[in-house]
This record gives sequence, structure tokens and C-alpha cells, in this order.
Amino acid sequence: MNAITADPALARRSLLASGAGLFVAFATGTARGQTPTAAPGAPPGMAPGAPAGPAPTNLLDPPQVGVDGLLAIGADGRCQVLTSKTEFGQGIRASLAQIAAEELDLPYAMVEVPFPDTDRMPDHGLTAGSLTLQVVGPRVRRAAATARAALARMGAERLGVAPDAVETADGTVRVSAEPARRVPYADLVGGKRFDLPIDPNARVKDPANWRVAGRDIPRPDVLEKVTGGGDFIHNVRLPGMLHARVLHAPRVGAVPAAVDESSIAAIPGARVLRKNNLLAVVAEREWNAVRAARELKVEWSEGKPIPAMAEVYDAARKAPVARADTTVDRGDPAAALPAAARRLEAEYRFGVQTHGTIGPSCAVGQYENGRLTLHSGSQAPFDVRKQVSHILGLPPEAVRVVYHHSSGCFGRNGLEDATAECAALAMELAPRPVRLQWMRHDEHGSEPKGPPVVMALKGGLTPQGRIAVWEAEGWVPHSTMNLVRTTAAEMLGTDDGPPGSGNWHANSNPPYDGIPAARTVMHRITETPFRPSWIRTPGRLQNCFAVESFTDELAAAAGKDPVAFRLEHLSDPRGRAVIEAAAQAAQWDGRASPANTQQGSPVRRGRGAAYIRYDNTRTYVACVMAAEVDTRSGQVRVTDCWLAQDCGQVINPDGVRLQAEGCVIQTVSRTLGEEIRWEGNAITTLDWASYPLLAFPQVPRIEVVVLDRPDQPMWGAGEPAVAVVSAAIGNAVFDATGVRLREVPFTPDRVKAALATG
Amino acid sequence: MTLRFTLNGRAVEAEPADAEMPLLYLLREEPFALNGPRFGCGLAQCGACTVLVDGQAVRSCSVPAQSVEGRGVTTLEGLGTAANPHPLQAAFAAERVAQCGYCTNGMIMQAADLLARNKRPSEAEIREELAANLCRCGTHVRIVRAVARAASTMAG
Repeated sequence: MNAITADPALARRSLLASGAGLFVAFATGTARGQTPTAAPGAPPGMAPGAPAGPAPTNLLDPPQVGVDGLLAIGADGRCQVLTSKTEFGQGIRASLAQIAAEELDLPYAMVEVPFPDTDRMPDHGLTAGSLTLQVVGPRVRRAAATARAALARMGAERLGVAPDAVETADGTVRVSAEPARRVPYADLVGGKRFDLPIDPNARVKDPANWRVAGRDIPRPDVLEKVTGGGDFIHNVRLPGMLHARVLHAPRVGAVPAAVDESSIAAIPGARVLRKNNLLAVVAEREWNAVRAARELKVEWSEGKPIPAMAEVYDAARKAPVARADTTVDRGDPAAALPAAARRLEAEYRFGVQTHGTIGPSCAVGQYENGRLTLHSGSQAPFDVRKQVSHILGLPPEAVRVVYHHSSGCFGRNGLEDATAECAALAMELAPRPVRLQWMRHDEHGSEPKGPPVVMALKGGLTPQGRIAVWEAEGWVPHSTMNLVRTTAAEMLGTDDGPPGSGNWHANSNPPYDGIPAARTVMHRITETPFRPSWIRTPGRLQNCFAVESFTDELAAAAGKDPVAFRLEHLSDPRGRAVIEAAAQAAQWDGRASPANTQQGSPVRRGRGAAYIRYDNTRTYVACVMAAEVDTRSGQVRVTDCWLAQDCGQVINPDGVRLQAEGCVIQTVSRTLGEEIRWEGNAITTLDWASYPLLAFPQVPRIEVVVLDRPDQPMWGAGEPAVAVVSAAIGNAVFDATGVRLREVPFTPDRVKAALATG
Repeated sequence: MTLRFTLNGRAVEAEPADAEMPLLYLLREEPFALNGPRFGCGLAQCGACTVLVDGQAVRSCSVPAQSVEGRGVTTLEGLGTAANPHPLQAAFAAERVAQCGYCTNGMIMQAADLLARNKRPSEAEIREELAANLCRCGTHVRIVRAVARAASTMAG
């Protein structure tokens, strides 16, 4: 679609007409029967068929809009950047504002990025995949550059001088030779439209001349957040608002068989609201709704059986397969494997996890005058609008989704479910607004989960200890991106649109072009015990854990230093640079693992490394972890992390570091202790005591090295650093003990069992 | 059963829904409509709801509103404002702590309790004090730095 329009409403309509919401699987993922093709931007030597990453069209290539679709300059001269991307703490509002301020020659404080509203913003797809800066950043930059050129032309005309006699600075156009002769942007275009297409050739600044971008500018909202304000979804209060709680089934697939409404008769104002299997309680005061949900007597059906925890990986290997993706196919592994001087085999497993959002999912909805307005913390305002309109049979234009800051969701947690449930309740309670908040057990028990992932690998070495051959297959869910079926659709027995295909296969290939024969096949299975969801760094974390742990196994079998071993198989200079930077920061001692010097000590210390190029096409990360293993208790403690990242051109260096620190801490937590557990078909880890997060005393020291590449495209930083963490910790444990951990999380029981069997 | 207490320095009255109603729900509903204390778990496991009762950090999700009869409750809003922030709030901003910011209320309120008892806490003491406060974004390292910064500001 090339239609360029300056009217956001028109843009939105043409965007819908063009099928922008269709789910298109993968730009380059290799499906069965297709010829593998190299991913665009894949490094030289990267295997054909390497997946290019996530893919619903709006995420990677949203429809073009005019300048007015992305920027608005108000009568006060302030600029708003318009996008459907949601800020939930990752810092995109600061970065996008820096890009716009830089190209517009506006002070940073004059630019803001308002929260998305489906009535006003262009659909840039959901906020996921570390794609905001990569995809939206360049668009904002070109829109701002186009706008600045237009302002200069308008200013020259207003000042009565030739177009080349003016310059822009501090939100004004001024005569270069007489800077006092100036006109502010507000006088030229304030409150009005540009009515211009984005000029792909508009002159953008050389990063060497940047004054706002590329700097550690503090985020606009931190002081507000720490003094009690903050436009959190949880803080939305509308006049006359009711409070609701939805009762989620305690077992997978269970439905309410009998409800005893008299059990809450004594609670003032509380009542039951039921629509098919959507069962809720509503009250005027929130506490009464909480009590009613707790006290309502419900008999639930048995639900459907799911595999036992101990069998979940075998079940995945036997599950129906929608398709298989070959993510690397080079040389002849079948012939090379028997010929290898030394052969290894291993299976790696990664457990079921929850997003662990601190603030449970919440939404406020109101149906009035034929229009449903949903206040939502969803990272996908347009997608949730589509789902709600499907569920309720409303035209999409009748649904408006207004975003408010959420508690960090780190993927598709319960926010979309709460929004859709709230929508259904608002239709019943119209015209009164209703606020729905989930309880802790709803979030742990009923949000969709990071699925179990398993990969089986075989490798062979040459007599010189190089990798001769690599052969792997893995099992990952098929349908996660970009819609997860909502709880509301399940409970109401309706449809909420077609599922996407997901990208859990990403980074399942070894990232080393020096392996002459390599083949990885990822089976995309259609059944998992719980709704599978994308959770920070989906697939890449689990797959990198298997791939980079197995690389370490091969290095140990070859008797080589694991860092040197990786470099020996990698030609990409930017990949080598991050590995070398992390090793240097860690003062890496170049020797083979395990350390073999501490046999007498009950607490052993080791270090491990891991590397990834995200999706094989963008951000590079390497890290070194130092860990201590208490061989008596089985406790693993990560003491230090040195992480190097190259995400191309950096807009806000502190933002990149903050994201990297968060990636490390969150993933140390996931690696050491987080696992959703169940008995029968009921999740038993419904609170923080049974699903503990890493606590302050266990948080490691972290050093982040950012390799800035001002002359390169900007890539995301919200997820890539997660991918290397589990593997690096496992490799450190091996270095410390000589024992290989092949199942995340590394709980004390698993560590002790591994130590016992050697 | 009218409840009387001091909220952020002001004498107030309220009507809890029942004897069990946790303080958090009272603080967040009208007329107070406070946003500082936040619901996280309702189980006193995460700390997002922390307020000070007579200067002591308390999980407001798990104490009955009635228990503050005649006492002084301070929330994040009572500690300071954007225009006039408490040294802890200023330090959290200066150290660029927050990502999503949802847990920050509890971190600051718990740290306020700590700094009232211990003017110069060590890094280990800060970590121990916050051991029962959860952060999902992984801002721990900066939170510890911010509390140490606030401690040195307050100690002059």
C-alpha cells in the first residue's frame, strides 16, 4: 500500500481496508516444502533459511502514513509523536521523543509521546519483539526531517528571504545571517496540519552533529512515578464506576457447573453476572467485589486432562505438528555425523513460566451511545480492539481502546484477557462503567504461559577439536504471535479472530558460520498444557539455552577455552566484537572448563559465556556470568555478569543499559527459580511464595558494555540480552562443578540430582 | 463504625465496608483515591502496597483499615510531591531507577522506614531491608544506589 494521507482517520480506514490486520506468517521462515532463502540482512556465511524474526505485517512494516499521521505540532509549539507503541517502562517514549526533537530542532522538553488511542494513532502493530526503535524510529526520524524542511520553507517565506537563507534552531526558523530575525514553529504550523507525505529523501542529521539523540536524557515520567502520580491503568477511575472480579476456572478447561448466588447475599451491593461460562461478581465498592469473588460458592467441572509435569517434554515431542521450520541447512550432517572424530548428544528443556507482572491485569470499560470505550494496559491496542470486536460482534469502529501505563508485562500476560472480559461485562452493565482487576491467583493461574520447550542436539568434532557437524530438532508451540485466544472468547464460547503462527523457532540454529554441516528442524506443535504466549525473548531464550550450552559441551569435549572456541567458529566481526568485549570486561581467563581446582571446597565458583545475534539479523549480545554452586544445598548463586551489546545506533545509552540490567536480573530469576507447577490439571503455583522471584540479596553485580555504532541502523534492546543468560549460567555451573545442567530452572533439587549422577 | 485517623498529615474520617476490609482498598477508593499504594498480591508478599503507619512500613493489603484508628498513615503522596520531592523520591529520579514503576512505591516506603532507623545503611543492609519487596523489571541495582544516595543526602 502506498496511499499516503495526512488525515489520521483516513489513514486508519485505508489501513484497515488494506488488510493491515491480517496475520502474515513469516517473511522468510522456511516452511515445509519451500526452498530455504537467506534472511534479509543475514550476515555473510549465515545459513540459508535462518529465520528473520517476528512477522505480522504491522509489526515489521506498518503501512505508510503522512507526516500528520506521526507528528502533530500544537498551537503552543509542542510536538506530539503518534504511535500505537505502548510505554510500559522500556523507555520508548524518551527515545522516540529524542529522535523527533533532534530532527525537528526542538528542545527535548517540547516533544512528548502520548499514550496510544485507537481513535488517534496509526497502527504500528503491537509493542513486541524489540521492534519499536527498529521499525518506528526511522519513520519518526523521516517524518520529523520532512516536517523540519517544510517548516524551513514556510519560515523563509514568512521572513521574506530565500529558502537557503534560513536555519532551524530551538523550535524556530531564523535567518542564518541575522539570528534575531526568527519565527517560531507555532506561528507557522501550530495546531495545523502539514498535509505532506513523508519524504524518504528528507535530509537527516549526521549523528556526529546530534545534540539530543545519542545522549543520556532522563525519562519524562520518572519523578511522576515516584511521587504517586502516573497514568497507570490501575488508577483509572470513572464516575459511577462499578467494580468486578471474574472467577477463573481452577483447572484447565473447567466450567462453572453450579453457582450458589445466595452465598454472597450478605455482601452489600454484590451480585453475580454470568454470560455463558463467563462468571463474574460486581459491586459498588471494590472490597465487596473482592469478598464476593472469594465467598461465591461455585462447583466447577473437572476440565480436560493435561500431561503431568514429569511427562510434559515427552508429550511435546509427541504432540501434533502444524509445520516444521528448518532454521539452518548446510552441508550434509547425516553423512558428517558418523564420520566425526568425537560425537556428543544432549537434550535441553526449559520449563513453563509466567510473566510475573507485579500489578495484576486491569481494565475499565464503558458502553455508551453505541460505542465501547476500553481503558487498557494492553501492549496491543489495535489487536485487542480487533479481538473484542470479534468476540462481541461489534464493528471495530464501535470499539475504542485507550492505553494507560501498565505494570511491566514482558509479553502477552493477562492484560488482553482482562480487557476482553471487561468489555463483555461493560456491555451487560451499560451505561455504567466497570473496572475489572485480576487477583494475584488470576495472574499466576490464568494468564497464558511461556510454554515448555525441548531441543535434542547431536554434534561431532574434527580430530583438531573443531565442530564438524551439528544436528538438532526442537519442539515449540505454533500459535502465539500475534494473538493469543482470550479467556473471554473461551468463556463466552465465541471466536476472537485467527491465531498467528508465532516465532518460537527463532535462534534455534547455532550462530556459528564455521560449522560446515548443520541442520536444525523445529517442530511447531499445536498442543501445549496451557495457552502458550510470548514471554520476554520468546524462543530465543529457550533455544539459545540449548544451543549455547551444547556449544559449551563441544568446547569442553575439545578441551578448549569456550570463548576462543566460539571465536574460532565465527567470522562476523560485530559478533566477535561483543564476545571479545564481554570477555575483556570479565577479565576472562582463557582456559578450558571445568576449572578442576576446587574439588575440596563445598562452594565452587565458575564462569561461563554465551553469545547470540538476535533473530540472526539484528542486535548482538555476549555475556559472561560468574556463579557459585553450593554443592551441599544445590543452591546456585550468580555473583557477577559482564554483558556486551551492539544494538546498532544508540539513541539513549542509559536506556540501553537499564534494559540490559533488567534483562539480566529478570532472567537470572527465571533461570534459577521460576517454574509453573501443576497437579492433575490445576496450577499450584498461584502466589509469590510458590513462584518466587529473585530477591535483592541474590541480585548479581552487573556491568554493561554498549558498543555504539552511530553509522548503523538502530535495533532493539528490550529483549536480546535475555537470550544469553540461562546458557551462560549453566556454563558457569559446569565450569564450577563439571556437571551440566540441562533443564531450566536450575532448582536446588535438580542441581543436587545432577551433582549426584555426575 | 466511623474510622478516624490521620492521612498524610490531615485528620480524616472514613467508613470501611466491614471489619476485615484491608487499608489498601480504603486508601485507593473515593474520597481518598490515592495512587501511591498499589495492589500487587493481596498477600503481603510483594510490597507494592506499602504505606507507613506511625512511621513503620506496613503492607496495606493485609492489615484491616480499622487497625489504623487514631494512628498516622503516610503514603507515597504524603512523603513528597513532584514539586517538592522527599530525598528518596529525588534519589530514585536521579538514579533513573524506574522502568514500569509499579513496585517503586513499596521500595521507597520500605526504604523510608529503614532510613528512619539506620541513617547510614550498608549496601548489604539495604538489600536485606528490601528482600521482601519484589521488582519484575530488574531495577534492583539502581534501587540500592538510590537508597544509598538518599541516605547520604539526608545525613547531610
